[in-house]
This record gives sequence, structure tokens and C-alpha cells, in this order.
Amino acid sequence: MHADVPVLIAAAGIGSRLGMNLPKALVEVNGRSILERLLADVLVDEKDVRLIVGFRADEVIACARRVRDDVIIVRNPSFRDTSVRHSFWLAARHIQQPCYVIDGDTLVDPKAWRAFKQRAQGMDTLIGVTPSSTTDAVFTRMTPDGRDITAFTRAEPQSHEWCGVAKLSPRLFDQKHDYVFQCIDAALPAPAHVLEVAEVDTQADLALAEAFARRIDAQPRLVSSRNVAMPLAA
Amino acid sequence: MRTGFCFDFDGTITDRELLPYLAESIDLVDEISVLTRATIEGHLDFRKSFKLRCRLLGSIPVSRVNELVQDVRMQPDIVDFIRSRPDDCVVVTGNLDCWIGPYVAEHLGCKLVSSRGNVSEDRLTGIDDVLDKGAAVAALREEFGWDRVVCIGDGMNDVPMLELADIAVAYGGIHTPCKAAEEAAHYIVYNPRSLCTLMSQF
Repeated sequence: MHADVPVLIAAAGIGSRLGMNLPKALVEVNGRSILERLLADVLVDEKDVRLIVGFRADEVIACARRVRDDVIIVRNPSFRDTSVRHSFWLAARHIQQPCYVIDGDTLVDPKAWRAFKQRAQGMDTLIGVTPSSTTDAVFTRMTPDGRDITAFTRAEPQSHEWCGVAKLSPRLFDQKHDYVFQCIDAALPAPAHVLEVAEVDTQADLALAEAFARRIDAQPRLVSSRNVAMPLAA
Repeated sequence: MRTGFCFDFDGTITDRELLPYLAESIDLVDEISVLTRATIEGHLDFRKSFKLRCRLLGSIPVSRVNELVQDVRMQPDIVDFIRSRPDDCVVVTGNLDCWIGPYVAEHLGCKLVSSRGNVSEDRLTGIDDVLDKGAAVAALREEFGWDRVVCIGDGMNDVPMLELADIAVAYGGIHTPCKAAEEAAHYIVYNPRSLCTLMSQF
């Protein structure tokens, strides 16, 4: 069995609802792109990171490589006609074990990621939810104790929404649905984990994400095994 | 499911292109490097460029080339991967059997499919066959009975094999892959450890 849990980041889409002619992963919040933040701050200890690229792929790859050289690039050449589900499938089809998925337009609090990962240890399925805030949310219906998700719904507002972060069986993406949450539906009921994120779909989301990024950036930096400074030799 | 792995050699397994390295011994580095770079980037036809470079390098005795090649470093992670499953790995290279055959046999222990040089009295006298990597991979798939073929390369002459692969990997561990190789690939990786992480799951 492969030791490191793969992390798949979907960053192939055009981001048409945001309307910035820029892949959403490259959108800057409080001075740094979402992708840079994911790779440098959030996934700093993950060794098997797979980035799915499509729209303006060269710029997305260049951004990733400025942060770290070990990201595995997965190409989605048909990004104009396919969904995030297809992007995840392209990366997941050659993986046998449960993997993490993160939407590349999602700003994640590094501390919240660590807690999510810790909780997910030994679990095959863990679905990230966040207090409902985005336009166009996919809401999660929960069990009364708030532990499990029983269904996704767009029609009936709920206290929490699907946040684009999960640990899942890669086989869920073999289902030819339009949306990722429709694929996850086959795994429900499943444990939920509340984590702080900000998803950037629209300009309104972007303003919320800016505030969220400023809050994260004000926190003391976590010490990571990757970034421990080594004393320079005299 | 039986999976075969076809590796480009120069600049994929080795940490430098071999022809410019050989050119150092006869003071033709700039000339060969320009030709090599232009060929990797697809500005020159591989066959013609390769024959020309071989003509230039043909003044080096073949036994001397064999010695020089011994000093070329290979990427340890990739070597370990190949040595752990030599029966499923093949080096598919435009380079010449007479130049790198002994080195591949000694250090990798896997099959080599390459261009073929004509040797007479320790001198390269001509090129019998410049390898078409696409045709080579199609033949290997038959020969080995592989259900699935993974191809790893970086240059223009790798494109035909990347296009025929079930899983195509453009590898940029030494230099950025040419655009056509990237566009033929399902995956692009820039780090030997990442390449092995990826391949170990196939």
C-alpha cells in the first residue's frame, strides 16, 4: 500500500462566474494566490500532491513550481467541456486508495486542515462542511447530532454547506455525474467535519475570502517539518 | 493487469544529455549542444539531427564512448524503480546501442531498444537505424503482452511513444519537457521522487 495519502487539487476550470479571466486558483487574496496558499501553507507536509490543470495551464503550473517542484501535474485538456468531477476522475483513476480532494478555488485555514487530516486518519470517508455562506451553496443535511451527512440539497437551505474538501474513495469519481457532490452521494451517510474555508465562486465570495485570508495571515505561523530553517554553515 | 514502462534515456534517466557530454572530449560542445537543444524543442528533425551529431561524434572510438558514459550519473530513484522490476521496464532511446548498451545492461539490467550504429575497428562508421519510438512501443506491447503501457519522456522524439501510451508522462526532472511532449501527456512531473510516487501506483 502506498504510504502517503494523495491530495488532488482541481484547478482546471475557467471560473466564469467570477469573471476574472483567471483560473480561480490564481486569484490573489490578501496578496497571495489561493494555490500558493494551498501548496505553501496548507499542504506543506503532504508528499503526494496532484494538481489538475486546464485553463491557462502554463501559468497554474508556473505558480505551483514557484512554491514546490514535487507537485504531480495532471492535464485536463478538455477543461472547457468537462466539470470538476471529470478533473478529479482524471487524477483519481490511477489511484487505488482513499485520497483527499480539494477544490482549487477554496481557501483553507492551515490549522483547520491539520485537524481535518488528523480526524481523517484511518477513515476512508470524511466530508468537509462549513457554515453556509456562499452564493449557490450545496447544503448538507445532517443527522440531529451533526455527526453525519445524510444528503446534499440545493433547494433547502441548511446550517452547513459542502466545502470542497473531503477524503474519499477514488472510485466515487468513476460515476459520470456532473457535480462532485453527486458522486459523493453514493457514499452517504458519511461522517462530516466542520472546517473553516472560503470558496471563491463570485465577486461577493471574493470579498468574504479577503477577510478570511487576513484573519488567517494574522495568526501565528505554524511550524512545519518542511519549512524548519536550517542554520547556515559559517 | 500487466503494466510495462518505457523510459526515454538521455535527460530522463541520466541527469544530462549524453551527446553534448561526449562532445566535450572532442571540443565540439557548443556545436552539439545547439543541435541537441533545437532537436529537443522540435526545431530540427530528430533523425537528421541525430545522424549529423553522430557523424560529428563518430571520431571518438566506441570503446572511449563506453568509458565516458560510465561517468554519467543516473537519477537514483528512477534506477531503483527500474531495478525493482527489470522485466517490466524498457529503455527506449534514440541513442546508439554500441554507445550505451553495456552501460544499460550493467546498471539497469533491463531491455534496451535503441538506434543501431555500425561499428568497424572501434569506430562508428554509420547509422543502420534511427529508432522510431512509436513503432518500438507498439512492438514491445506485442512482445511482452502488456495490458497497459506507461511511457516517460521529454523530447520531440518521445512524442510518438507518448501518443501511443495508455499513460503518458512528460518528465521535466532535468529540463522542461518540449511543448509537444507536454501536450501528449496525461501527467507532467518535475521531480524524480514524484515520478516514482506516480509510477508506483500504476
